[in-house]
Amino acid sequence: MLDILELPKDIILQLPRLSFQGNCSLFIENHKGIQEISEEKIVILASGTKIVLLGEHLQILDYSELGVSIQGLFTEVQFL
Amino acid sequence: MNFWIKKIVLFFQGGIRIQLKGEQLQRCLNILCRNGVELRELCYIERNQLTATMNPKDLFRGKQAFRKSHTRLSILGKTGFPFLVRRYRNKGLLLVGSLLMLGMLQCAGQNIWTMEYVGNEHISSDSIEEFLWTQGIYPGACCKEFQREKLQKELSRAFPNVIWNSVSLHNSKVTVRLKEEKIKKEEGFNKDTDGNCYSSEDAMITSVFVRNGVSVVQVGDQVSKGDLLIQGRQDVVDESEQWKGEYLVQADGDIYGRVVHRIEQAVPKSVTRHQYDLSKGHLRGVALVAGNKRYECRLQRIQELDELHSIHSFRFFGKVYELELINGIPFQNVNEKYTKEQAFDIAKKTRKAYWETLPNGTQLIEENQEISQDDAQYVVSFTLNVIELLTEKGIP
Repeated sequence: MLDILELPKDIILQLPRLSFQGNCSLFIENHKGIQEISEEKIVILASGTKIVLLGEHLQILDYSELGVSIQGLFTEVQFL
Repeated sequence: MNFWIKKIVLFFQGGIRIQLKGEQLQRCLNILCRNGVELRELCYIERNQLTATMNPKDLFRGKQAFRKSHTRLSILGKTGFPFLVRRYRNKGLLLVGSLLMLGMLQCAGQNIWTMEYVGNEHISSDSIEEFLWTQGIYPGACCKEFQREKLQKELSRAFPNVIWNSVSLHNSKVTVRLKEEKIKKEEGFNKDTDGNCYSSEDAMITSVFVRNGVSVVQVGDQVSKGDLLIQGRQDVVDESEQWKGEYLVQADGDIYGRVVHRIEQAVPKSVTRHQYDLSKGHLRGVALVAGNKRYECRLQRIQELDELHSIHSFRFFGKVYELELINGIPFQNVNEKYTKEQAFDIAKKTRKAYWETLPNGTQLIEENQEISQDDAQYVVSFTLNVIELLTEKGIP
């Protein structure tokens, strides 16, 4: 339906949008909050899924309702 | 650019560095986020402990979140402009000093402090600086004294070698850009004549050969004495035929012209050598003796108009002459005698009559006087068409 009407899925379905810059910078939009936070693992809640970010020296630069900006060395991204 | 703008905005907003401790840190963060509180530079220290930066105005908004999540808040530091003002509000002198410094900077910016000269090769920077001083432009002068167009005009007048100039003021720096004409001084360059060649006579050009410079005349042109023949100033243009500058050289070349010399001279009729031979159809030469002068010539061309009047073209000491004998007694009748009437009858056929008065004023013959060959004279009107070299370096 969305494809036929050409509507954006991330806005209608509230899907998370991840924007990577290499493997060191990430910006997540449409998130529902943080579940876990540490230097090696960050778990972000999204609509119907969890985003698990594994890496080293992970640090949240900005955290607001508009999005989460995370910096560090990402090694793995999981969608649970 | 956005990064720096954001930094400046955050500086003016101010920030509080906080430390959060508790078991439900994630819940605290989520509540803060839902309430519209923005957190920056979150740093995980250890389990159940992290630091972050937030806006001062969000601190009171976040208290509810801290309470709900049972999180302890510690303020580690305060940064930004609001706290800076609060810190130094009792130090009035600092504020005054800052304002004074800003004022001085503003005042200093209204003056000229540096001057730069670009493009001057032959003209020294000192002379340009001296010129600017006379115009009221010097280090410390007010920027209001700077008038660009007037300066440019005066600069062109003061330095004639400058073909283009630009004077600009940027902040407190005056920049003078010049373009000088390139002058190449060759050996023998004549400053008085600007390197040009002028004509030494009134003539009609017969040949043009230029070694240096640009010729402004062609074969067949009529020139007067003092007219420009070869120009030493050459224009320099680039590939798109845009004028770039001028180039001075010493003009040199050989331009010949036919110069007409009109001479009237009484030549005593005394032919010492006569090689003119009509019967054989060719001629060799003729000699006219006048006193101690001897006009020897080798005839090259004869055009007989009538029995009295003939035009001879001959080369005399390397120069080409056309000798027109007027009222002359024909060579083949050298032994005959004429009366005045007979001479007049003969003279009627010519264009001029010189029997009565010679150019030197003496009376040639008297009325009814029988003249002999010795008394009669040739009155020769020379029309000398001489091919002469016209190019002189300068006007003589």
